[in-house]
Amino acid sequence: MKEIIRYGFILGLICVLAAGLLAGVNALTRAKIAEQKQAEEPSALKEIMPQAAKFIPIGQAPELLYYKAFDSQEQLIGFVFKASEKGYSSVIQTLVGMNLQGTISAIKVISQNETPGLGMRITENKFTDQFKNQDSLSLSDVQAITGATISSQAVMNSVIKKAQEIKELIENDPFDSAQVMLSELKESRSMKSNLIVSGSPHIHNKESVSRIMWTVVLSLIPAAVAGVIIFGWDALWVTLVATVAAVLTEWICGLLTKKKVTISDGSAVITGILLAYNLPPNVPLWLPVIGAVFSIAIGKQIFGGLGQNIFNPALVGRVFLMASWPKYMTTFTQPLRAGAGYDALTSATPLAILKEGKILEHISYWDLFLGKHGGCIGEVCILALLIGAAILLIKGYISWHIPASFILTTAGFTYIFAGVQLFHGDWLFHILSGGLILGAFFMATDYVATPLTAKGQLIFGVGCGLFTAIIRIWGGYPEGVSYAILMMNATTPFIDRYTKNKIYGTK
Amino acid sequence: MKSLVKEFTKGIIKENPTFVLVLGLCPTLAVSVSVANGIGMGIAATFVLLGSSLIISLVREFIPDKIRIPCYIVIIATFVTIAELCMKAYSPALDRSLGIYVPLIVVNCMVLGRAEAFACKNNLARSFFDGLGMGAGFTLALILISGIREFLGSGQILGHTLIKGFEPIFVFGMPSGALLVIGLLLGFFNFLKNRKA
Repeated sequence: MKEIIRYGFILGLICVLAAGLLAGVNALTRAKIAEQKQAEEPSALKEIMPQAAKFIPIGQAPELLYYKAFDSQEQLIGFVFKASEKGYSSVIQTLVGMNLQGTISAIKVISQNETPGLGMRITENKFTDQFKNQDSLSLSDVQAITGATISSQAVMNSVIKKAQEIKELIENDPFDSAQVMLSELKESRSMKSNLIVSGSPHIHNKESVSRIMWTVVLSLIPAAVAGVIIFGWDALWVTLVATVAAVLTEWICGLLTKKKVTISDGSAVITGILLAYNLPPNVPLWLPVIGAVFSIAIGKQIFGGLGQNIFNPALVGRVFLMASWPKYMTTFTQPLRAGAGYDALTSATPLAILKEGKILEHISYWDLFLGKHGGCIGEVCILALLIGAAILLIKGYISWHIPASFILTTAGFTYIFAGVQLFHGDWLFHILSGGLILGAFFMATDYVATPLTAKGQLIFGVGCGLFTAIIRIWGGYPEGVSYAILMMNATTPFIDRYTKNKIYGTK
Repeated sequence: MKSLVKEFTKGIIKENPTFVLVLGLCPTLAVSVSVANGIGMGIAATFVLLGSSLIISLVREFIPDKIRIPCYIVIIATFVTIAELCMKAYSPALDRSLGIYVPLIVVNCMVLGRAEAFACKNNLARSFFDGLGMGAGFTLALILISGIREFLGSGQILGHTLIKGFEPIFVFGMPSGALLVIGLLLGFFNFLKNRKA
């Protein structure tokens, strides 16, 4: 009892001393803090309207309507108001300066949380400077940012809407209405009939890691041919550069870590090709180089090389590029047409068009199947991908479990939820567009990072399908195949633990 | 005197709080977007570490063992609040960019870790140099991480563009970039340490 009192006393004493000290510091800094707060708002206002000397808020504090800006001679020179509207992923707030003629003096985005590298570009001067001297009620010469149409449009709409309101307010203001106008490889892992888990003796066959890998490379060739036919020679260069960079990186990593150099097994070649297949055809050539280096060095070698990586290396590289240079990763060129030169036009992918809420025109299921639309090099031609997939399935290098469950889940889920109402989704469109077929047959079937047993593979495929559909329908990006596969790669050790075959006689 | 210098220098390399002890990673991950933020956070944490180490070392005979943790927390929180008030008054822009991570220094395991592991067992002078060394090690680690992130993520250092035409690698400005840089640096320092051993 005595102890408790003593402890309480000591603790209390420390608290009292602390409180006293804080009170002192607070007294010293309070005035300065208040002063700093006050200095903030006018500096933002001043950026919008540099020529004004004084701003007078109109309306009461929680419902501040706008500011009237006066020059040094107390002459009314314009208005500053806050405009806000829901953008792609957040509410965007913009501070707008407008002069007496209803034209905009400058705008500044003061609060937003849009996708970095895409929607976030609305804060760049390149975008905001376009508003200068525009008529606030039409904004006719303002161009939306490529890949960020929704965010740009939100800014424009909010400005127009608010300018209209302000104009009405001012016109109804009896005082100055007159002057204002406004406004991962375990060998034979995952191979369906080839994976026979049995006691010895074992019979040796001629299969080896490198044989399988080179067959996979062969199966990827039709898609490369299709890519070149559709997008021109640029597609071939991007693929070659990515492959060479991936093989060189594998070789250098082998030398640096003083381990056996494993470039002859062909796995780095596959990573390079798959990475290139996930890139738009007209990217600058340094992009596939950096992507390939990242895929092999960080995606694979850092975990210990082939058979140790927890994620599909090609997808690791793609996601890295997507997060780093979204502007190149989302600028797609239109397929070549007769008569059109090599200076390809940019066009959005069918999924991106759908995401922006526009209606798809002139694109039939047949065009989607043949790949006559904008997209990544290796994903567009479903016909070529299916020829490659057939080789792998017939040789028994991949099993049907993952691709089938992946594709069916995506189709089912999009059929239910992607339409205007339930059970009206265009499931065939969702199978044929984007990277679903490439992902389901060539990336989700990676031996290293996917589950061992058939049951595990079915769970894996369903998970991939669900994530893909969820991202496509409600996510921030138009396509979700790569993210879906990476997320399910992360769950593979867990799925393997619960689905592994029971050893006979054990519990 | 020699031992005091040792207390100071161990915090910078041999027992660097970030790369060797791996303490206080939360603010390191969160604020290392720019060098200015890194320096600000480093100074604020060093101030709190120094203040709390001094006071705790001073009152270590007076505080009963059973209630030492709450006492330490109160002392640490006091210094954090002082740091926060001063930052709000004299550098509101830094305060805004560091945000919630300044008050969170209270629960920074580096500060409580030094109080528990060092200040409560050592005299004033040694605790002072330990705090200073740990603070310096933390600040230097933050400058290194944020320097790499700011340069790669925006092409700048302290707001100055270094190479014209450099296409910034956005991912380094994002949280995933922080994990990537810290992971690679930790690997690199462990590699150096193993080679030496």
